[in-house]
Amino acid sequence: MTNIQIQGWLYNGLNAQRNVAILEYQPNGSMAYRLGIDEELKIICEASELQISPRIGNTARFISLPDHVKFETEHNDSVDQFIKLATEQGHIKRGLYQKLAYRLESNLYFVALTIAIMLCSTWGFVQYGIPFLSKEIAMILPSELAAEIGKGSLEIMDETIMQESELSLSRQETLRVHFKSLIPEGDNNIPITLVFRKSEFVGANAFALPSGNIIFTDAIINLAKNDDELKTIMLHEIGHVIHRHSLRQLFQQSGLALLILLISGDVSTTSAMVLALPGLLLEAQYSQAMETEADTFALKRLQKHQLDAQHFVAIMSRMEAIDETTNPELEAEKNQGNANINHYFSSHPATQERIQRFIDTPILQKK
Amino acid sequence: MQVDTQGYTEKPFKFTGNAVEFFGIWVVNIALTLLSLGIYSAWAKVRTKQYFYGNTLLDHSAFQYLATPIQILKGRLITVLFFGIYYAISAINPIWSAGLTILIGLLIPSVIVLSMSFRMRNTAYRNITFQFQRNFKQAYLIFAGPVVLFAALFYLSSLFSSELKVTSTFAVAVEDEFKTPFVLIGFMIIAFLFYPFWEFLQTRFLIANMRFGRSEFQFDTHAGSFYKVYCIALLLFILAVSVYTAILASFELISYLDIQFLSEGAPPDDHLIMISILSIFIIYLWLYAYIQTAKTNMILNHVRLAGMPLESSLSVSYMFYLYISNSIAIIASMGLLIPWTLIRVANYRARTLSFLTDTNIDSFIAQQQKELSALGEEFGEIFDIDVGI
Repeated sequence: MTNIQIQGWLYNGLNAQRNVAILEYQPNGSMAYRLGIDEELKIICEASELQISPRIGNTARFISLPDHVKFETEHNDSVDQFIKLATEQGHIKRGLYQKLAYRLESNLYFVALTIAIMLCSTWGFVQYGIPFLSKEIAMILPSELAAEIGKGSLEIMDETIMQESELSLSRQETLRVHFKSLIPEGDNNIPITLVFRKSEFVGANAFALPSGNIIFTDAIINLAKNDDELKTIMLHEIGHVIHRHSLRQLFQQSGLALLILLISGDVSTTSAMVLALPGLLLEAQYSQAMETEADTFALKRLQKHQLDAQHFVAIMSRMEAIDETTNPELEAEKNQGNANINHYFSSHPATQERIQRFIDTPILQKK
Repeated sequence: MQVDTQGYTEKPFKFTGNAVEFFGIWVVNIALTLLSLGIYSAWAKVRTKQYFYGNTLLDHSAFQYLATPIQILKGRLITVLFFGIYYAISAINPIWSAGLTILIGLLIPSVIVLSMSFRMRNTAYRNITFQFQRNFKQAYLIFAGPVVLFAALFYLSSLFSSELKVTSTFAVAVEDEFKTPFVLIGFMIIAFLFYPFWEFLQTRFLIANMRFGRSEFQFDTHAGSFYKVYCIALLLFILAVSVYTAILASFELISYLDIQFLSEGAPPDDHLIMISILSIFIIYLWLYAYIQTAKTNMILNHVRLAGMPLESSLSVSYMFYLYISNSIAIIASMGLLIPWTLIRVANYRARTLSFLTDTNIDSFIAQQQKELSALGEEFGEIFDIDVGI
């Protein structure tokens, strides 16, 4: 049996004095050290009393001895050899992790494989995992709790961007009756409330809030040529509420934020900007998927409510036309072949694609 | 101890890490973090810290990072819990979340102190640990004091101007519209003028409360040094902008732009616009590099440990080059070159830093183990802030 000798420095823990020293492991399990070259070997402790820092690349290792004494060495291989021997001889216990992390880190094949798997699984998780989990969680929550979340948002919008509707009360009542028949029955559905508001800021639009409020602006009511058009829009918005889109969006955003935090927490802040961009793109893409889902919901119910898909096409095209006159750049960009980027960047302007689905729906045969 | 400029020996810092080695650590860190649903991130942080500390050598001895993954994990769990509650509450009631945000603001000075304390206690060199005196009172005075003062002043002034409006509606009605932005601009100017001084107070607080064993750190300068950095930056900015404008004018780009605003004149060349936007970005980045570099040099050059100075000689143009090349590398590699950029920066910073010592480093004495309680220091890890010095 040979003794293992490790060269390094010994620090006494009282001051910063540095002593050249040799630490020696003896087959009987005790540790000895020799200061300088000439001094004699002194037994200090048992190997089991040592605390050895894990191997990290080729950084210096620190071995803590009793009485705050510390030994520093750059001879990593000697330390590993000593650990191996002492473990075999049963003088020290070694955690599996300590060895494993270094093995993985220094194995090029493993690192390359990891990168490949990592990229794929991250992509998969972001693309499918987060939306799936958000959906499951959002749908499981009891409807009362779901409606409770974001209860204050209508009040806030009322104070900031919306005013009282200028529609006559009788007109509002007519629409209310129309729309009521569209709301499906269901045990765990968030109760839907119809709200009319005037808003310069929003323009001609309708949208659903997390609390189940569906808001129609005066402008969109006036834009419609008939009430059937409005009904198709209403169906689309009900789709948002039934599928709990705002809740899912909340979970998706938190999920993405958490994922980015987890990765970047170890990456440092230099790349925060770089990491924020894909997050934004993904969120826009998520909400596009939700628009499609709400459309599907509306499409499925058109027949049941004796509505023609062309009504939706008509009012959407009209809204799109307004968008283009107020925002001509959008059209210009499309013509320049930036359609792909657009597809990723915006939650709404794949409007043409969406309208096409309704155009493709066969014209309703009135019974 | 003699303080004689001639008697100093220069002990350079050295960084021995390399990108390939660290790349492996970084990849495994991320992979295991994802696989363990985030739990491994604590181990990942410790290994990364240990790698950077262990590769930083001063006079051939390495620094050591002492915190254990379990400590970090505790901090992370508290963070997740804390933000979970925060998000839940802000989703339910936006008004409560505003209150919570203020509460978080009130905690920040404590968190800074705890985080510094945690960091220093877990940094060792030659078996002697650093320390940070937990001076909470001073922390609140320095970090929160000016913010509260400004908020109060601002509130008072808004009260004052609205009172005026009520008492003499006629006279002030016209004036008021001009007055509010005027007051705002006034406050902004005061804030800008005060900011370097505030930064000086913060830096001095952070450095003067640090210790290495029994030896104290001093920050041996005055607020003037901070003002100097910003004044030079301002002059450089004015210079850069005038040169920029002159060049633009010579390309007749400005007249093009004017025409386009007025009527449908010939649109300016796309390339010229790209170049002008790019050059604004470059001016900004260069100015940022200047301020960061000049400030870091100035601060480090005024740090004294037991009277002995550090010497930092970062170059602005090299830092500028590092920023640009790092950003390009990170974007082009979709993040895979992040480890390389981290190593480069650490390498350059160590290469330009040295410690001037008049005696032997051996003579530093360890603080007797008073066993100051580490309780609550994990809270300092809450925001995982790295207080920059």
